[in-house]
Amino acid sequence: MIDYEIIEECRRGNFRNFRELVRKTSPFAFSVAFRMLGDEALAEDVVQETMVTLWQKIIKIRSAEGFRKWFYKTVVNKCYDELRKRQKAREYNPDESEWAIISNHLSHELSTELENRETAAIIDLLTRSLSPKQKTVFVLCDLEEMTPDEASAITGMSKTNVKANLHYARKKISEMIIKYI
Amino acid sequence: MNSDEIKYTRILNILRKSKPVFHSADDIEDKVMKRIMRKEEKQEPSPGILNFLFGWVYIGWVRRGLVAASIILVIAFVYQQTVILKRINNLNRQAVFIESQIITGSSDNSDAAFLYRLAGRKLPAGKINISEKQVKRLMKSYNELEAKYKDLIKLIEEDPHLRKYVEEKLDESSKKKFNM
Repeated sequence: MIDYEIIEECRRGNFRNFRELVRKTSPFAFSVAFRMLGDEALAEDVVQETMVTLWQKIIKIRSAEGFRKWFYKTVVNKCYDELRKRQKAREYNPDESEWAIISNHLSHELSTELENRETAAIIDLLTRSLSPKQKTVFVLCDLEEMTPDEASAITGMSKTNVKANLHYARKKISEMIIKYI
Repeated sequence: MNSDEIKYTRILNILRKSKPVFHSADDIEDKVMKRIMRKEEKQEPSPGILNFLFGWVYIGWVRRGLVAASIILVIAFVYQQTVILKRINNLNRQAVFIESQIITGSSDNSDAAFLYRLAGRKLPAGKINISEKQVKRLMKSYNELEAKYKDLIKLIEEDPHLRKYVEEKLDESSKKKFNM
């Protein structure tokens, strides 16, 4: 993901390779945003906003090493805002067809990957009862496979808080799985 | 590992394996670059306006003149401040001096100091305005009265009975005044 040379160039004010930086980093931003929001269009908006913020603030990033943390932090914060906005008007209506997709994958050990639409539906169903914090930690640690230290640096939560939120997230998701699959 | 944990792990693996596909990467890339370009254009006002507004700063004699003017203004400001501060300090000292003169009686105007002591230090400084002429008249009449009744005072002080009688009478009169 990180091409330190490009970042260093952009940090020095040379934006000739910024397009290259966008090409290399945007899939990572999209992955996190899509898994958190479960909506392709919204995730794309977040990616766009993140890239514009990146262009505005890259000079202020202290080091190329700190870029990864800063980048994910920006994405997560933008998603977090979206999640908080949406949290107010949510109702839980279990959709049989989406649970059927999971059951199908579990029972037949399908090797094919899920489509975006299916991934979004499953994550949305599993994480419906989670708070934005819990969902963020779950996506970062369990889906994006980050360590609690990395998640703590990105979310600004303490390591203990991250672990506690992750524990509750896993517990709630397990309950959902037991209940519906 | 029980069956629920296995299910959880398998679902997690499916989700991990199924990385979201970023279909419109190129589209987003273009949009981002366009937005950036637009912002950059907005940030840079046209050179014509800049020249019109600030072009004069490049004229040598205007720059030197402005520098000189600003230095003169700063010096004038500092000078003015010093003068004002000096005056304020001076006035402050004068006010303290006058008050201390009245309280300690160390002034050349001993009449004023005496009057202040006579009033039992009850006159707050600066609250009553009496002219110097009035003070002098008051002091003169007090001194005349003292000289006129000097013998009488001496007589009363020498005779204890008379002194006692006078004191009783003065007490009575003061009580009457108080009752009134």
